[in-house]
Amino acid sequence: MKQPMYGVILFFLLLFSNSAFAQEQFSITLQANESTPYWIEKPQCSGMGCEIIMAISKEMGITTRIEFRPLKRLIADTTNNDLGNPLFYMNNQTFAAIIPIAVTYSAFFSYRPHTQECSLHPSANECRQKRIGALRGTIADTTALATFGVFEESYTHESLFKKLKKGRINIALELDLVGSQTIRTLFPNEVDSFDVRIIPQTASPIAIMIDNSTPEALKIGHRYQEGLHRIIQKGIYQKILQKYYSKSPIPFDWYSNLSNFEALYSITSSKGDQ
Amino acid sequence: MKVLYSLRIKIILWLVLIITLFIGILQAYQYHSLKRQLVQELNYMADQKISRLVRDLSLPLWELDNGWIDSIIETEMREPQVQGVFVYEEEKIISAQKIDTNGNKVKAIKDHLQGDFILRIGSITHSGVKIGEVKFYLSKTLIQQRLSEELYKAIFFTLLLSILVSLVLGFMIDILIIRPINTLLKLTEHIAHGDYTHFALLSADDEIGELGKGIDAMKRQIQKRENQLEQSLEELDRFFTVSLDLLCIADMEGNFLRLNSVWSQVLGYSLEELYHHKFFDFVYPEDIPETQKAVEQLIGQEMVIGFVNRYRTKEGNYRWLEWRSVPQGKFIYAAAHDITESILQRKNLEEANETLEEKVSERTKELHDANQQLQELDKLKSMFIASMSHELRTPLNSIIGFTGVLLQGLSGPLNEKQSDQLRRVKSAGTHLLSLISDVIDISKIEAGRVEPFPETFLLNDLMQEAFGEIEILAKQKGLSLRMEPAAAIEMFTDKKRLYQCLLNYLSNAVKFTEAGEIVLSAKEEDAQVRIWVQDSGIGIAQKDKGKLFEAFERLETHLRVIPEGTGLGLYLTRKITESLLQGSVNVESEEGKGSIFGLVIPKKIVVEEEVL
Repeated sequence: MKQPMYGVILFFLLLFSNSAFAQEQFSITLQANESTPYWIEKPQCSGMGCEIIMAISKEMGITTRIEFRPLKRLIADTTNNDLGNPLFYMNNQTFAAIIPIAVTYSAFFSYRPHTQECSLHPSANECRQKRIGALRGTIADTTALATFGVFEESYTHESLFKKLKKGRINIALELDLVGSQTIRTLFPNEVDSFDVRIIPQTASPIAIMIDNSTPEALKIGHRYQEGLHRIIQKGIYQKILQKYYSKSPIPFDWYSNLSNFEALYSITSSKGDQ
Repeated sequence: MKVLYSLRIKIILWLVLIITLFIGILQAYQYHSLKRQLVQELNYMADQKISRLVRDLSLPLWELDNGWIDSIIETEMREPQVQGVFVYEEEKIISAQKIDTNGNKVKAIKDHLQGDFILRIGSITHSGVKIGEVKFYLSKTLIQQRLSEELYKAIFFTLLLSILVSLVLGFMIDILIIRPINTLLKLTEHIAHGDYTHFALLSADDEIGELGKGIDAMKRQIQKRENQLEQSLEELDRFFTVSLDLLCIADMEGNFLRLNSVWSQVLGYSLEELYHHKFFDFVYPEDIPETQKAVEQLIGQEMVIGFVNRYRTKEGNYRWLEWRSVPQGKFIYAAAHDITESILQRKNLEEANETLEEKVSERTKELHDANQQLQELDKLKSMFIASMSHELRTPLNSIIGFTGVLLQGLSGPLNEKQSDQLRRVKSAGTHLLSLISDVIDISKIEAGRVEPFPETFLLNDLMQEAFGEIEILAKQKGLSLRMEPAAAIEMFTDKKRLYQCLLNYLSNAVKFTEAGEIVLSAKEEDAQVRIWVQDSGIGIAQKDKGKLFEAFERLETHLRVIPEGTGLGLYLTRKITESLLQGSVNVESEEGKGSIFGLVIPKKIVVEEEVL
């Protein structure tokens, strides 16, 4: 009940802010952890996240500089401005503004030839028990997954999907865009051999998090939020999404989830608000 | 003395050789130990690494994480011995690196390495399932390099150590052994040249010092022996020169090696002529076989003594030589005596002997005949004397008897003058009778007509009896008469004749002693008895002792009163003792000091049938 209400209030606030600070120029440095296909450092900042922020910055005239740091440093640094999932940072840092700019979904990946083989020979060793793989550290609680079969962690995305193709695991659990990007990179000729099934209720935000100590953090946050809305309205945002989803359809609830996260991390949110 | 191969060099060379060999063996042992150790270490390293690789690659291979696998391989390849690591996933190389021929690390596509390696292959499993394998190559090149270095080091150190040790030892040996030996060598050179004035003068108290002392002592001995030898040679030469015999040294083949000049004198050849011939050339042909036998005896190392053969002289005559030969190894040492003259003399003597024996036989026969005649004459003489004495004694007894009657005045009184004359007649008659009695006894004894009448008695008793008989006369002259009785000696002999002898000795002693003592003594000596009379009388001159026991011998005396006597007493005593008592008489005397007259007779006389 509360979430639609927050959305309306936020909308008005964004409109007001745009008009009020249209003339102001801001410059800010954000820090991200490289994570294909969202944040790619070289040769220049690219990836879906980078492209959305650059589009917003261009739209709003904000000078945004993105630096790449290891994830642990980003989490440890409590005075910087972070990019990513707010859940990783909010426990030890207070942000003046959190602006969700994208949504991630967890998905099940499978390799179709193995799936077909198992449907034909379900008693084969590799088919008798489901083996689920995921990137190490991405699953906090594996007990739920254990009910499906044996859970196994991989150290890299590449390993995860190689094992999937090799049949060492039956299902790979990964963010949908990450998994798709890895498959395209590793097996460009067999992209169609992989099945992707987004897991419902697994959406997570990707946000701009402006530290409380940043001068005029709130104003900047509003400008980014306004810029997000503008590029969504102009269709720029959609084009960026389509670029990364390629042949796959954009999740139908993307925008609703984005709105929900905007509402969840309202501009005035800070540590302890959750 | 020039040393062809120096002892110093020999010792040093041997030292170098032995020490090099010893250290070389030691180094070779160390080299092989090191090689074995390095290979073991490399194998151990290979085992360790393959175990670790299998363990480390299990997860990356399961994860198919090439980057991870590469990093593990990269890490392993940092080891310089590692020549290649190949990771297989289902028989396909999933990742591999190797060292190429230029020594660079490169990605490997094929599992093909050339060289000397230690290869380990490990199966990579995950959850008990094999998911791949890893091949791991360790090069032995570093070991070989290390071994080569060690080999060079070993050779270097072996040579260096050998040279150093050899130099040190050589130096020590030089000081301790070589120099003293050189000193001794020089000393021996001096000794060899007959120079005995040098000494070893080594102060070391070790074996070489002792050797030096020994050489000094030996030198003194050599010098002494040399002097002795020179002296011996001189003596030998002198003997060779002065010898009257033929001396020679020859070999067993008959060659003369040394001759003395007597050979020339005896045989007439010069020594040069003799040296150019064998001694068989001079031997009388008939004597050659015997001479040959004698030489064979000498070859058998036996002495030949008294062998005689004949040698031809230069004039063609032969001389008889008697040989005395001694073998010594291959040589004969011989001395020959020219016995030609002796042989000739012996032949002459033999001829003379033959004549002489004939003459002696003739003379012996003549003497025998004469002797028989003499014996018969002697018997006749004795018989005559005995008969005549008997015939004389009868009228003498009448004269003495009637003279006594007249002196006793039985035929009327006599005046002093008549009495004196009659006493003289009686005295002369008594003396004549005594003389005749002695003559008769002697004649009987000499004629063998007196036989001993042995009986058993104690000698002391007989001596006491004789002592008593003469005691009155001794006292009249103021002499001391003493008897030293012997132990109880039982006699079996002619008592009467023994008594006669004792009385004769005692009366003589009284007669020829003016003052002092007369002692009668006896002593048992085994089966014999020795009886003697010792006086302190006038004694007998040495020159007169031989005449004492002869008939009618009366010695000169300085006594104031000339004792009476027939001159037959001692002669008769000797005859009785020797003929009847089977003993002997003796006398010891010194002029002016006294005499000891004794006789030695058996305690028991032998009475034989013939004697009886």
